[in-house]
Amino acid sequence: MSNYQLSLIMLACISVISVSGVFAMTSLAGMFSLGQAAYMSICAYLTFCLAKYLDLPVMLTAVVGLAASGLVALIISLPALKLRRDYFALLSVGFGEMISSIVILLGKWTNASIGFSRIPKVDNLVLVILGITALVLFMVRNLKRSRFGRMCIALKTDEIAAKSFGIDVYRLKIKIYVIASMIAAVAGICYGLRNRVISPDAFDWSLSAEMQILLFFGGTNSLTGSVISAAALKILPEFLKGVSFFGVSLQDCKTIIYCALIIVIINFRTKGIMGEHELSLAPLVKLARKAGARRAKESK
Amino acid sequence: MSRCILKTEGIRKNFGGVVAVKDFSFEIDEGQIIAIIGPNGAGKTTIFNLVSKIYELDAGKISLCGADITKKSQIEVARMGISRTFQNARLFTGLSVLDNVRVALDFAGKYSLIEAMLLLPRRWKTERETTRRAMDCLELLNLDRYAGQRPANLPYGIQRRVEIARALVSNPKVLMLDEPAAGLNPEELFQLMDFLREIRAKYPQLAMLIIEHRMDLVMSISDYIYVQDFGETIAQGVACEIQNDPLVLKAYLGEEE
Repeated sequence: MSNYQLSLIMLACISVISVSGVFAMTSLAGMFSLGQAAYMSICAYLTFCLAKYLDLPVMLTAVVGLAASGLVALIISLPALKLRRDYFALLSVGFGEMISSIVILLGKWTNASIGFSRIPKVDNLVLVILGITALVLFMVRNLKRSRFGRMCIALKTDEIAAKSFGIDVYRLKIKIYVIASMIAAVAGICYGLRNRVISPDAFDWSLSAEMQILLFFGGTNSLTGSVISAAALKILPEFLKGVSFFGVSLQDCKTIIYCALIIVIINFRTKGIMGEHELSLAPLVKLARKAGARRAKESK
Repeated sequence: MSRCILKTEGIRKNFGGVVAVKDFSFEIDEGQIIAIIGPNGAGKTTIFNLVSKIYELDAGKISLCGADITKKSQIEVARMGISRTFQNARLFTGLSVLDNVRVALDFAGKYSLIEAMLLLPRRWKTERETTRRAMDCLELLNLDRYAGQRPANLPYGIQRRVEIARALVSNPKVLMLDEPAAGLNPEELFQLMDFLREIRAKYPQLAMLIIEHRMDLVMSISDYIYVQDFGETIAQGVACEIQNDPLVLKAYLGEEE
């Protein structure tokens, strides 16, 4: 495969990782945040700056970055999750902007808006990122199918009823928020490794909004749906590069196209393309078994 | 002598100038079924909301098995074994019938978030146990064939029963049913009475507190009845005493001309 194709696969994977984090937070626990890109930023900057200035291996600093993102998420969530959902969403926008400003303020180390580009090269990066994506998806899927997934969906539907079944809504939300933020942080590291340059603009609120849009497009309660939409919609603009109308490349109209899609979805399929349905191999297995049984009967 | 499970002493709740519940005192023993009846707006559901701590008390005291639970939170009270249903079946619409029942056991689940995400052995063991208990409870209420369905697709009578299963599965000390027969047709009402009797036979220790309008249900299954009107207890006693109480007739049928 050409380098270009590999790079597209990585782009899709990073999108899938970040959207699956948002899935845990928004689709399961009903927390709407527009600041998840900030955790990508925190983790990416910490990982690569520490690796550069302290001359440590990226593997080690990535762990530090992840832990730090989790800690920041915990500190933010303690007061923020006491707020009502809409105020929480507002606060998350502010948080995202705050992190961007901090990155610019620390320009001496982070190179501010110019971007930090001293990121080591990793061999076979595609395989590494594919592996990480598979692991993250496996974990989020298990989360959905565990007692935590059930409790999250319960609290999203009816917080008071959830409490009357002994579910500690506040603590559960904090746990999920921290996990979701650490998944975003993983996406941040992958982003840095792929692009070899990180800048505060790359992680602004529009990236957070994009994650939410990709999630809603695929299906508000469907992990497989949002994963497919995360991958497909993310690389779609690359194919629109060559297409142009009246001298304007369609890629430049990315935002307009996204917004138009969202309006269509909101009006005609309020729960996203897949809604609550999950794609699974079960029907195929069933079909194969049936065919096998029929063949066995015929041979008799 | 049976043990007193739940006891309230003079609990009171005001909403602005309206006294929703005025100094309500009652006690319920192990295995007893107590009904609270009264016309609309008599403060019956408010009593449930006070006991399950959805509302804060303005005055009074609540104790469970002798321990004071007046200051406990809604979550703590639920974990201590006071379980309830809601007037309008607040089932979790995003979950299947089986999951609605399982979720009532989940707060006590014996595996951590990390174990859940990595599918470690304790997760499997706990899930098997949870599923078994939930299925037993669904079978008791003859709901097992609906296990995989979404509650929104089921008839209202079934939804109400799923709600009872959800409240019952955690093996509570007190089960509070808020108008379990509301919206049921006569056939479903008979079924409900049968199920309540079966629950009583299967859980002889369980104390049940029922708010109900349907007199046939109340009179046939309750051991003791409290009648509320405008937040006050206007009568209490066993079924036949209540039926002939002039104050009760007045509250229900209005004053004689």
